[in-house]
Amino acid sequence: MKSRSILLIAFAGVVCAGIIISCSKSNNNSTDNNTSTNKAILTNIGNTIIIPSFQNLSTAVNAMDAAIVAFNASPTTITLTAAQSSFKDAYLAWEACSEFSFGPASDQSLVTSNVNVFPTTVSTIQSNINSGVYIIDAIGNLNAQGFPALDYLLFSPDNTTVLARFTTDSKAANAKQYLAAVSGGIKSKATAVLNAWLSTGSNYISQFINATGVDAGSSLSLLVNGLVYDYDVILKNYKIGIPFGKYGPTTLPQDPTKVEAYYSGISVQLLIAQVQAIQNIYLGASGQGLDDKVASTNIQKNGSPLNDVIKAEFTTLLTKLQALPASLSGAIQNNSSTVNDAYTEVQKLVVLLKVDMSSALGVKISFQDDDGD
Amino acid sequence: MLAFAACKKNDNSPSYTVPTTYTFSGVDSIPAKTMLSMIAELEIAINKGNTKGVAVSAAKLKGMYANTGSYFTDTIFSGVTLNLNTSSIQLQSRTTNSTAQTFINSILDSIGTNSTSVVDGIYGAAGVASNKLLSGNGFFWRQLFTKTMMGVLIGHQITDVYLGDSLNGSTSLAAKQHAWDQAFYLWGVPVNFPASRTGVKYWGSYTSQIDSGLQVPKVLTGINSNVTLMNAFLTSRAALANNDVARAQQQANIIIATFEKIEAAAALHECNEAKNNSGAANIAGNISESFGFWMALKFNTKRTIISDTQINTIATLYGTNFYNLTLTNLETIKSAISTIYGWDSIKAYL
Repeated sequence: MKSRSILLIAFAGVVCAGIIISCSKSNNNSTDNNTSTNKAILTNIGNTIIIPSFQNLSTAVNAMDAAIVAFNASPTTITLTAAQSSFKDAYLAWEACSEFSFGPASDQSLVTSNVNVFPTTVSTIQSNINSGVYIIDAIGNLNAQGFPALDYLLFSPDNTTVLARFTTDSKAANAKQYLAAVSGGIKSKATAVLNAWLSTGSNYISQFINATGVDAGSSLSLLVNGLVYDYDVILKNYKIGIPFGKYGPTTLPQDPTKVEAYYSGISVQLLIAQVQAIQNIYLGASGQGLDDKVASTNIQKNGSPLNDVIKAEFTTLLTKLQALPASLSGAIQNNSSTVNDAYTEVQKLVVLLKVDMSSALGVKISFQDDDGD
Repeated sequence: MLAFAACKKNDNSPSYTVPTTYTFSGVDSIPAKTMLSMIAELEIAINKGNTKGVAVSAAKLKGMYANTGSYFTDTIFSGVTLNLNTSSIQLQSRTTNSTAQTFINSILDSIGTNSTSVVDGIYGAAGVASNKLLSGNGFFWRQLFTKTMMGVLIGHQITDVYLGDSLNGSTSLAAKQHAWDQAFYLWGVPVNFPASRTGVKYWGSYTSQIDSGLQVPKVLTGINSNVTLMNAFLTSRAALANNDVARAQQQANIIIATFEKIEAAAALHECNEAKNNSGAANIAGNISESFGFWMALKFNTKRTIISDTQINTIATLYGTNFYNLTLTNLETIKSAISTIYGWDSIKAYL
C-alpha cells in the first residue's frame, strides 16, 4: 500500500512537472500558432495599419512631387516653402512604412536601404548635378537619392542658397532635373507598393493574411522581423546611436551630421513618428494586435505581465523623445544628458521587442546585426 | 569509348560495391591540397588590402600565383607538411589558358594599385568600403579573384585535367585513381559529404547553396548537385579501384556536365544575394562574385548547353561599372541565365 501510494505520488509529480513544462513550453513553442488568432491579428494590422500607412505615404509623396513640380516651374520662396512642407509630410508618412520592408516593399525597393540612406553623400549629388548623368536607382547612387537627397537639395544650407541652386546657378537646369528624378523615383515606388497590397491591385493583403504560422516566411515572422530590424538597426543604431557615438558597447566619435533629416532639422519629429508607428503595430491600433497575443501567454517580466511592461516602455520612451529639442544634431552637442536618457530607453525597448516579445510570439529573429549587443 | 560504356551498362551490374563515403585504399590528396592551400594563402594576402590604408604588393601576389619568390608559408595537412614554395605545382601554369592567366594577373595588378588608395571606395574612386577593396567601378577584387579561380583553376583541373586527360589517357590505373582523388578533393568537401559539411570550401560550399536556394521557409531548387556529384565521385572511384575505367568515364561526364550548371547557377545565385543585400559596396561585392562565376563559366571548355555568343551577351549585361547596375538590371541578368538553363521556376530564390 505504502509503496504504491509513493509510486502514485511520484507519478503524479512527474505528470505535474510534465504539465508545468509543457505549459511554459507552449508559451514560446514555435508550433503554437493558433491560426484563427494569428489571422485576426494579421487581418486587423493589414487592413487598419499597413494599407492605410502605404495609402498615406502614396498620397503624401504624390503631393510632395506635385509641389516639387510647381517649385521647378517657378522657384520662389513661396513654392520652396510649400515643397519643404510637403516633403516633411511625406517623410513623416515614410516613418510609418519603413517597418513593412517585406513583400511588395522589398520587390519595389521601397526600403530604407534604397530610399532612406543617410547621411546622404553630398559629393555624389553634386557630381550628378554637374554632369547631368546618373542612374537614380543604381547601387552606386543609393546614397545620393531618396528622402535624404531631397533633404539636402531643399534645405541645405539655407533658403537663399537653395533658391540660387535652382535659379542662378550655372547648373540650375540640371539641379531641377535631379530634384524631379529623385522625387519621381520615390513616388513611383510608393504607388507600386500600394497597388501591390490592395485587393483591387495585386492583392498581397490576401497572401499576408493567410500566411498564418510563426515560422520563417509566415506573415507574423516577416512583420516582427521587419519592425524589430527597423527599430534596432535603423532607429537605435543609425538614427541615434552612431550620431551620438554609441554602437552597442563601442564608443565612437560623435557625429551629429549623421542624423536622419540633418538639413531640414526634423530628426526628433521623425523619431517620434517611427516609435509611434511601431507602438501602433504592437497595439494593433484599436483592434487585435501583437499585444493581445503577448498578453495571452501570461508571460511575466520582472514580476509584471510582459505586455504591460512593453506598453509602459513605449510610453516612457516617447516621453523621453518628446523632451528632446527639435534638432537632434543640436541636442547631441548641447543636451547630451537628455539624449542619453532617451537612448537608454531606446535600448531597453530593443531588449523587450527583440528578445522578450519575439519569444512570446514564437517568432525567431533572423537578422544579424553586428553591433555586439 | 561511349559505345563501350553503353555495352558495359547492358551487362549485369558490377560486382564491386560503391561505398557511401570517399574511403578507398591508397587515396592521396596532396596535389589538390597544395593547390587549395596556395589559393587560400593568396586570398589571405589579398584580404590585407580590405583594410583602408594597407597596400598590397602586386609583385608578391603574382609571385604567389606563379610560385616564384618563396612567398608561401608551409602548411600541414594530415601530418604531412606541404612545402609550397618548393612544390612543382604552380597555380598559373595550372590555369586553363593564357587568356585566363592574363585576366587573373590583371586582377592582382589592380589589387596592388587600388590598395594604395587613401580614400573610401565609392563610385568613381577605388578604395575600401564595408571592409572591401573595390575599384572605382565597383569590382570587389578579392571575390572576383576567388570566383574566377573556381573556374579557371579548380574547375579546369577537375573537368579537363583529372577527369579528362588523366582519365582518358594511357596512364596507369593507379595514376587514374590518383587523378580522380585530386578531382574529388578539389571539390572541397569532406569524405562523408553531404551528411557532413565540415570544412567545405569553394565549390564544396556552393553546391549546397545552389541546392538549398534562398527561399524561406526552405524550398529546394531541385538542382541536387551535392548528391549528383557525390554519387558520381564515389561510383567512379570504386570503378577505378576495380579496373572499370569505362564506368568511371561515364560518371565523369556527369560531373563535367554538372560543373557547367553549378557555374551558371552560382552566377544567378549571387544576383539574388545582391538583391537581398544593402549598401553599395556590399551589393557590388555580390555582383563581383556573380561576374566571377560568369567568367568561370566562360572559360569552361566543356560546356555543352550555353554557347560562346550567349555567354558574351550576358557578360555585356553586367556592364563595366557595377555601381551603375540597378536591381532591375540584375533581374535581367537572372532571366537571361534562367532562360538558357530552364530555371524560370526557381530563379527567384536560386
